[in-house]
Amino acid sequence: MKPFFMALLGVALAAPLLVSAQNTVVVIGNRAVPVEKLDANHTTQIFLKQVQTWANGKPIQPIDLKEGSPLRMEFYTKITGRSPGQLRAYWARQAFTGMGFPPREVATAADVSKVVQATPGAIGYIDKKSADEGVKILLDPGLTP
Amino acid sequence: MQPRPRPWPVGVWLLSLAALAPAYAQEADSLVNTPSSLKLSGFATLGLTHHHNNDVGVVFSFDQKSPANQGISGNLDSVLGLQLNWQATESTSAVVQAVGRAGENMTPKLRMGYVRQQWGQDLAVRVGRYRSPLYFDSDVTEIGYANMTVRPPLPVYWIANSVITIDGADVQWRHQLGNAALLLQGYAGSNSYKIRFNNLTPVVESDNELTGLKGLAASVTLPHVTLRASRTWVNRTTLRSSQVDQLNTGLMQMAGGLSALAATPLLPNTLRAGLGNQAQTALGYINPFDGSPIYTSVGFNANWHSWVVMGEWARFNAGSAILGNADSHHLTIGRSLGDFTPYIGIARQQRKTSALNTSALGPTGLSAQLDAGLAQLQGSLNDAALNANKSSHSVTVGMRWDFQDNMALKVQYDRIQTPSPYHPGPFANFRLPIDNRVNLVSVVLDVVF
Repeated sequence: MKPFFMALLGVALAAPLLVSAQNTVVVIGNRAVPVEKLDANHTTQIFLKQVQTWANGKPIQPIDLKEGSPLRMEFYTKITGRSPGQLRAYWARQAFTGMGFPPREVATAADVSKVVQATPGAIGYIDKKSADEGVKILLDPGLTP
Repeated sequence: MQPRPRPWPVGVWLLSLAALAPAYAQEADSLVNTPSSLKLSGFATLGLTHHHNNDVGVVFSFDQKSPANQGISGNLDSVLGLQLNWQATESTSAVVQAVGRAGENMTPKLRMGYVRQQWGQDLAVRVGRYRSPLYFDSDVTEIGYANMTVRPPLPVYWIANSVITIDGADVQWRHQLGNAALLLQGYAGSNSYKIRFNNLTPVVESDNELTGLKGLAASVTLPHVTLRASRTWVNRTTLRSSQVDQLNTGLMQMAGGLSALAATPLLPNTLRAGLGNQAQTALGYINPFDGSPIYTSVGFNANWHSWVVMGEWARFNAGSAILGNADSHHLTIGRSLGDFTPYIGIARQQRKTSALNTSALGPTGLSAQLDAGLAQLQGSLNDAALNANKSSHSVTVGMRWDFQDNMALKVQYDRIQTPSPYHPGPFANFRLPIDNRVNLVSVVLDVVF
C-alpha cells in the first residue's frame, strides 16, 4: 500500500502546481490600443475575427501562437471555451468559404510580445511572467472572479 | 439563356495542380496566415458509406452522377478541394477554388473564382463565383472538416446542395453592436446545375437554370451563439430536357385536340366551354418545373462550454405547382470530450402543398384516341409530381475524433426514411414501390491542409 499512498501524496502536492501552471496566460495589447481592459467574450470575438475594429475604428491585429503551443491551448480553452478541434473547424469554415482567415501566427510568446509592441492595434497573449511595460495587459484570467 | 459553366477538363486540373505544387511547398500549413501574397490550401474527405437497401441510392445533391448504392460506396462524401488565394494588395485579393467529388467521377468544378475588394474594415465586395449562402451551412456543406457531423442533414440540405455556387457578386458589411458582431451579406447572380431523373431508364439529365437570383443574409454573433436568417429570391428557374420537350409537345397536341372538339358546333355549348377550359388548363402544364422559387432559412449555432447545439428551419417555395412548397428543419447536439465529440441529430423535410391536380387531363368521353393521349400525359405528370415530393426525415448518431492536427475521423449512422414506399423522396435509383428506409453507416476521414 505504501507506493499507493506515495503516489496519492505526489498527486496532492502536484495539484496546486498544475493549477498554477494553468493560470499563466494573459492577453496583451499594443500600448496605443484604445482600451484598458477586455473581457473574455470580447477577446474571443477578436481572435475569431468576428470583431475587426477597435472602438476608434482602427483595425485590430490579433497575433496568434502556432498550433501545438501549450500556451495557445490554454488561451483558447480558457478564454474562448473552444477545443482545438472546434477552433480548426471554425477556421476551415471561414477560409474555404472565402469569409476570412485566421490571425497571423508567430512561433513563440517572445515573438508575440515583440509583434504586439511594434504593431498599432495589435493584441496577443503571452505568459504572464513575460509581460513587461512595453505592452498593456488587457485581460488576466487569473484575476477574473 | 446563359451558358452553363463547364467543368474543367482533367488535363487543366492536373496542370493546375502541377503549377501550384511549388506554392504548396512554400506554404504547407494553410491555416497559418503569414503575410505571403500567394497561398495554396485545400480540404479532402475520404468517405465510405454502407447500406443494405437495394432499391435506392443516396445522393448529396440532385446533380450527383453516381449515387451511393447498396453495399460500400465512396460516392456520397469523398471530395478533394484545392484553393489558391492571392493577396494582390492589402485590400484586394483573388480566390480560386476547384472541387472534385467522387460521386461525379472527380471531375473538377469551379466552386469559387472571385476578386474581393475591401473598403475599410467593415465593407467588402466579391465579384465572380462564390459559394452559395442559401442556408446556414450551404457554403460549407462539402467541406467535411468544417462540419461537426459527416455532412449537413440531407433532408434539409438536399435542395440547397444543388445550388452550390452563385455567379455574380456579393457585398459583406460587418458592424459591432455592443457584444454582438453583425454581418450582413447581400448577394445576386445566377446558377445552373443538372437534375438527374433517376426514375427513368436510361437516366435523363435536365438543365436547370436559375436567373435573377438575389438575397440577403444577416447573422449576429453573440459570445456563445450565432444566429442567422436569410432569404433568397430567384426571378426564374427554367428546367429543360428531352423529356420536358416531349411532355410539352404532347400537351400542345392534346390542347389542340381539345380545342378542335370545343369548336364542334354539334356539341352543347356547356360541353364546348368545358373542353375549351380543359385545353387552356393543359397548356398551363407546359414547362411544369419552371417557377420563381424563394429559399428562406433561420438557424443558429451555439457553443456553451463543451456543448454544441445547431438548429435550422428552412422553407422552399418552388413557385411551381408540381414542385410545391416544403418546410424542413433539423436539430443537432454535440459535446466535446477532449478530442472526441459525440453528437445526435434529427432532421425532416415535409411538403406543405398538395400534389399537382391533373384532373383537367381526365377523359372527355368523346374521342378514344384523345382520351388515350390525355391519360398518358396525366400519368406522366402524376409520376413527375410524385417524384418532386422530397419529403423525408432522418435520425443521426455519430462521433467525431480530432485525432491529429487538421484531421478528423468520423463515424456516423443515419436512418433516412420517406413517408411511404410510394414516396421516393430524394433517393436515387428508385423503382416504386421502394423500401423507403435507408440505414446508412458512414466512416469518413476529413483533412484540411
